[in-house]
Amino acid sequence: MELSLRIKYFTFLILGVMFIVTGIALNELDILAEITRGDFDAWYDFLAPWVGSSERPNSQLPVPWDQ
Amino acid sequence: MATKSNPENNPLKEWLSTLPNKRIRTLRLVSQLTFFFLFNGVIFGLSRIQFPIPVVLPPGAPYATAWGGFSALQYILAVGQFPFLVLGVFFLTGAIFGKLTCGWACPVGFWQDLLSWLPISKIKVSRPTNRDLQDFSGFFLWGSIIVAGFFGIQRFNGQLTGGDFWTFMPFDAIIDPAGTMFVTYFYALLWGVFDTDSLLDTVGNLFLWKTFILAIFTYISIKVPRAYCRWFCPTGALLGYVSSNSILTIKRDPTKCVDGCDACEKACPTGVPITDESTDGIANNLCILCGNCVDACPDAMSFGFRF
Ligand code: SF4
Ligand code: SF4
Ligand code: SF4
Repeated sequence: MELSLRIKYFTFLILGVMFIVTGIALNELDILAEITRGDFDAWYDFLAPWVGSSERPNSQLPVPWDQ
Repeated sequence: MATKSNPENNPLKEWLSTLPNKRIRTLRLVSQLTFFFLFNGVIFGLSRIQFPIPVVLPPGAPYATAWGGFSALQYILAVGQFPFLVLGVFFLTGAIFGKLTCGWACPVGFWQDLLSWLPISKIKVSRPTNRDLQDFSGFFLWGSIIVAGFFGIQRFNGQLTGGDFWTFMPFDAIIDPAGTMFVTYFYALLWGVFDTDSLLDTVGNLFLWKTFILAIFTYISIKVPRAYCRWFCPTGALLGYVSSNSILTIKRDPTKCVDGCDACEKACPTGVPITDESTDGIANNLCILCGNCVDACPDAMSFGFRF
């Protein structure tokens, strides 16, 4: 039985709940929702440098994040 | 009576290590497969939930149903807010379940488990090296936090609007092998990059760099099981700050343990020095609660709670 370990997980439990509540209160879920709301340009800019030139006839993103 | 004996001549040890008991491994495989399909469930018509979870799941993956926690952390920081929500999720799940999500759900952990099954000789890593190499994951974790935080402060002060994608998720954009596998290659195929006559003319440098990084991590993870998890993954590093003190843990019953045996340690994919751990429960941030050690020695090892 190690007391310090139990104090640590108890602290993290309390902190975890507090942080989740604070994060939701500060609308952090909305921040995450922003980026997948059909932001074609952002994703395109993100992906194009890896994938190569953007000048190609079949350059089209699928749109699962529009759903 | 258990006596100290030469491990090479220990019949019990040999018997333990050849036990055909893989019940937990089988359950875990089912869990990993299920989560893989759940995490990519948009392809089956599931909807996306904008919530961070403590596994690697690049938000750019075309059919991802949630946000990988560390991607969400970088993004929230980079837009100029302290990532309370993500840290809360990591603290809460880490304190209760430790790194259970690493062992049973993470697609990148699953990928490494598959790699480790390849019949290619493995490298044995010493305990100190295993521990020291973990510094890389801390470097990736804090490096990404500093870069994302730097741009976050600029955006918060209004000195920066918009910006390249790497300023929002530096680790995902430059290193993350999951992003390369599940995002970059997907779009490279979709956009027909591989159909062109001259591949090298059309792909970007970042594409080549990320392919190179992915190849290195793949090779290391073939030679050392779960090498990316052990030493490089910032998601695992963040969870690891909490997971060693988790309520759910793995316990070893010393009264049933045999001197000179190390079958459990041999079965451990992350190299946890199990026999040196407290009998109160494993308190090691390498442990992913996979249960391989319980499969290897069901008599002495068990899942348990540390209340
Ligand atoms: S350490 Fe990282 S890559 Fe490994 S299972 Fe955990 S989250 Fe996934
Ligand atoms: S707990 Fe590990 S060292 Fe002890 S008997 Fe079982 S396999 Fe051997
Ligand atoms: S100690 Fe056991 S449960 Fe933890 S990683 Fe090693 S084999 Fe898996």
